[in-house]
Amino acid sequence: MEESFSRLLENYSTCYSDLMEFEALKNLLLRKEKKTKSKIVSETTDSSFFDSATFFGLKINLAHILMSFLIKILYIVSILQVLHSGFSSYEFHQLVKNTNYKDHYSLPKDIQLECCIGLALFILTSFLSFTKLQYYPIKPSINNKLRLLTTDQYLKDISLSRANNVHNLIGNDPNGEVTFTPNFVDLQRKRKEISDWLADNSKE
Amino acid sequence: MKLLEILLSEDDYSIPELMLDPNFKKWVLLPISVMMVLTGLLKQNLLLLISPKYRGYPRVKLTESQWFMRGQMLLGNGTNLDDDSFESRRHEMINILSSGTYLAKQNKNNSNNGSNNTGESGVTNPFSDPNINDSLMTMAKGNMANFIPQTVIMWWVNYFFGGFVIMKLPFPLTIKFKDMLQNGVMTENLDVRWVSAISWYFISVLGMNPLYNLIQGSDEQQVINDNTTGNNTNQILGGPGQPAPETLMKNLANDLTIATRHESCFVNIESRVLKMYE
Amino acid sequence: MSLTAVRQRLLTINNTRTYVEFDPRETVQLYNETKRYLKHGDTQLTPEQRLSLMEMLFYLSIFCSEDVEAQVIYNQISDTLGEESCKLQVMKATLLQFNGSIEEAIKYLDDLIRQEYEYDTDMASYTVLSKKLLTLKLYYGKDYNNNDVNNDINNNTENKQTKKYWDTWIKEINILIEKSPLDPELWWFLAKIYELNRHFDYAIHCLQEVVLIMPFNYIAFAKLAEMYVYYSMSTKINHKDKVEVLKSALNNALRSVELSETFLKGWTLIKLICERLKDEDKTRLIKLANKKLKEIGNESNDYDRFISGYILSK
Repeated sequence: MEESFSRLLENYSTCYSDLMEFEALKNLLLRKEKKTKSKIVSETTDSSFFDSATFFGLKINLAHILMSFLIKILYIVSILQVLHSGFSSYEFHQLVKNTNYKDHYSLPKDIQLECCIGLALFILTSFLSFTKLQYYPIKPSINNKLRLLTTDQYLKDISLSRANNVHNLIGNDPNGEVTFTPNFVDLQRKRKEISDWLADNSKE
Repeated sequence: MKLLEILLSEDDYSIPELMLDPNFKKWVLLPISVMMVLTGLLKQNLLLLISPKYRGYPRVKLTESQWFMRGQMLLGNGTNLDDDSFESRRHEMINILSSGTYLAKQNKNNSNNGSNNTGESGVTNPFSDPNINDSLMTMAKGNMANFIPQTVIMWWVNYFFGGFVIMKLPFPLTIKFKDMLQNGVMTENLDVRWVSAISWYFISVLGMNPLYNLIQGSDEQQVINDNTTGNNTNQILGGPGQPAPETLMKNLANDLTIATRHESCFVNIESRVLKMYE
Repeated sequence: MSLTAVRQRLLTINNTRTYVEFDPRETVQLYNETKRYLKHGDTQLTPEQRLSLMEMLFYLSIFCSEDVEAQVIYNQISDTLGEESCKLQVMKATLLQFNGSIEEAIKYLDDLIRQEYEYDTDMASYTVLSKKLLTLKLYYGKDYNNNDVNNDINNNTENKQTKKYWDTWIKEINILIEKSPLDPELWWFLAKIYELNRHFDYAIHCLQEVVLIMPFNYIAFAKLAEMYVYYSMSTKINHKDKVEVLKSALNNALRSVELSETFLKGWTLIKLICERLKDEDKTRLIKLANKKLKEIGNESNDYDRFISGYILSK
């Protein structure tokens, strides 16, 4: 065991420059690029999800609010129509029930029409009410804000290769419970790191 | 307008087959429905309370099953490996499984030495095992929770709402239903479609489940991923009525011995990826 | 406004335990955000989700050295759930570790495992508690703890004591793996240790176990590819073998993108390995990788944009 270890180390020195390159890449793959990090630290730390809307985002939100208002009205109208047609049909049947002419009279056209229109409107509105799906990335970006990411896709792709697209979009590792080995975290080191960082930052 | 004329001309006015008091709706259908919903909810919560606690297993037993499952996974997911690694693993697993290194049997024998002298027969009296008794008990409790409320409500409906019909079904029924659905109504020639309160009860029993689901609230999948390591199914070897773990392991070892033809997913993967994305 | 998105983000971070990977800035930020979110309240949060977020907040406050708050959260959770579950027992041990002493925590867990979980357990509990016990013993325990030894898993100091230290780790984890061979986290951690000690072939073996247990884990395939690349650089193998190892690396990287189309690390590795395989004609693959990297750079989150831009510019 010991022998093989030292042998490996020897081998390493021969291709050390190569290894350095790879460590750099590894850090990159682990999203631990030093450059971004230092840039980040200088920024303010205060960011919250309530003030994350940019100007552009605000504009979108205005349209969004208008749209949702319209949709609510349409919903109410369609539901009222369906209810009213139901009530009318009930009244009609109550009247007809007490006569001998049951078979002579079918439901009047206007009630039928009202019901159909109401249902169609309801379905249309519910289609309209689909908005873009919104996600926050798992990690805040360089300027410390969470940029909202959107997709139109409500249903996941059937093909396995695309089912994970949302995870990749937001920078999520779905198997994090394994890959981050959360049960083997060195808590004391972690605490020290964070308290050091906090001390550094409070000075500034 | 025509309708009104007809209604107003009293000559044609006639009485339908049966006139029901509209108050039936208020005082019969509604109370029964409310009662049904309430008891249903009560029953569900009761079932939750008497549901059995999660039962654990001794650790050695779990280890045994996990090694067995590892063999199964090698068979099932072996395509993820290249040929060499699969071969070496296959031999390793065959050795482990056929030698029975991780069988939990030894401990079991030690603990049972005093009480169990039936020896090699392998079949024990199911009632001597406390675990089985437990599961029987919970089964019985579950059944009780199901039929006691049912009997009580049926009695309640028959007692308070018997003796009259409350509605007309929109579909015809054969005469055999008369006994059940017009229970306590003393008219021999009445159409079976006219039914008493008990049939509303039956309808409710059959149609209530969606309502309960609505009230209890279904769990919406809001999280992007839930339960990532869901591969670990709680499969325990050698439960009641199953072959002994030892035989299962031997069989799996045999299966692995046969599984010489290995197909790796890495064959042609380059062309596959190029075809997929290019 | 986008409370749904916030909830989703926090729950996802909790479910994948991503918070253990955050750097100090992100951790502090996440800690404040979770606290604010839980205080703000969210009607659509189910009680279970709330409890799980509280568990995350517990660990975050431990990370931020807010022990009093951690104790408060622990009390809240144990009031609703009792103290039977293994997660709560791990939390209790964590509290003991910082409020009491490490010996106390070790004794607590040891007693639990020996007297209870050895005889009555389920698939997860036993290993979760054993893992915690192991970290307590090996990171801070008296028997193993020498002050001059650098216990940092991300720092590969190469003295003999460290090697001995890691050998204990490997031994202990192997004992645990023998008890529950289907725990992917154990295999992954073992691979991590081997990687640290540059036994890349062993690491490959461990990661292959992970892939057997979780057949669609594209992250593990990419990690395997990474290990193969390191392996190809590490030994004095001749050119022919080196090409073979790189080919295996390429295969694994290809498998990872076959499972996940927009997986940045997978495409990066493909590009990189293809550039290393000078003898063979891989222009089509390199072209494809470039195309995909560009796509990711256009669509994905800021981190991935940055990285794909960096890799393309290289």
